[in-house]
Amino acid sequence: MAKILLVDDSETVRTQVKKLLTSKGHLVVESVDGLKGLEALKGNKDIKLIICDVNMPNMDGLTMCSRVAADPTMRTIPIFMLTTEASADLKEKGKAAGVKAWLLKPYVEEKLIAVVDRILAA
Amino acid sequence: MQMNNAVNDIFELCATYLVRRVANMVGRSDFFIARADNKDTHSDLRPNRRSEIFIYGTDITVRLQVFFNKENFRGAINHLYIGGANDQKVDDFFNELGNMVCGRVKHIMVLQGVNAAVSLPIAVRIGDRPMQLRSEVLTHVSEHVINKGQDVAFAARVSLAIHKPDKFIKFDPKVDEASEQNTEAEFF
Repeated sequence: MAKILLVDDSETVRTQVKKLLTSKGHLVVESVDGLKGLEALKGNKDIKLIICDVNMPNMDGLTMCSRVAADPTMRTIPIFMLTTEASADLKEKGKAAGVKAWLLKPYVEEKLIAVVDRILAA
Repeated sequence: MQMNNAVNDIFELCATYLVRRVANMVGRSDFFIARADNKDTHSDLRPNRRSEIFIYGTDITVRLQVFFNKENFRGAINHLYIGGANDQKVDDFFNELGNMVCGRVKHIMVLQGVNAAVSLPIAVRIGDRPMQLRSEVLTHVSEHVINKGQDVAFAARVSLAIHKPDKFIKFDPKVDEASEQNTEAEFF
């Protein structure tokens, strides 16, 4: 079981992913954008994984990833992007910002869980 | 002829994904699909909300509009949310639905060399014009859905303009079968 930060502006996505993760025993902290995600990270030092969308208001997911990578207290937390964005440019930016995995929406539940398990086991 | 095939393929692709996504997200698959085109002038159906999203690029522009009645659809997704669905959640559902459908359709196009990008969903807004469906389509819907006591939850309209027809000569809409199920995460 791990505490996971889920950052997505869509409540529909957060609800679906949270249900899936909690059914596997994980604890989920939700945030609606990158700014709120950073706040949640500061208030939850035991977060083991970040699942993040790309396009969000206020602060997008890749900017949030860069901020996390630049912060010595957060940079070891693995980040997994869950998004409809598939462009090679964005993936490269994500990679440069320390993103560990990239999965396209709509996702297959088993594959999302497999990514979570693989990253947490690493 | 080839252009007509490409247009039909893209319509089918959008319709397939729309129904598949709704079925997956809502947890039911008893949907009836009616087709309409943007030249229709008759309208009896006036949904009070709509959401729209674009796939655009140098090769194609696709506009997906989803029309819905929030009170009607709330019941269909009530079970998805803790505390039930309110108007805001219905709006969010349709914005994310459009995002997922267009994201996947765009991905299939990009895989086949078509220049395409997806806009962010345009905020759900109060309908400022009625949805226009051909009267015979409405009759068809009525016969199959309303008269059986089923709910009419939403309708969608796809408009598209192909700017570079040569990019669609070998377009294969069936690639989606492989694309969705076999899309693996990339690890860095």
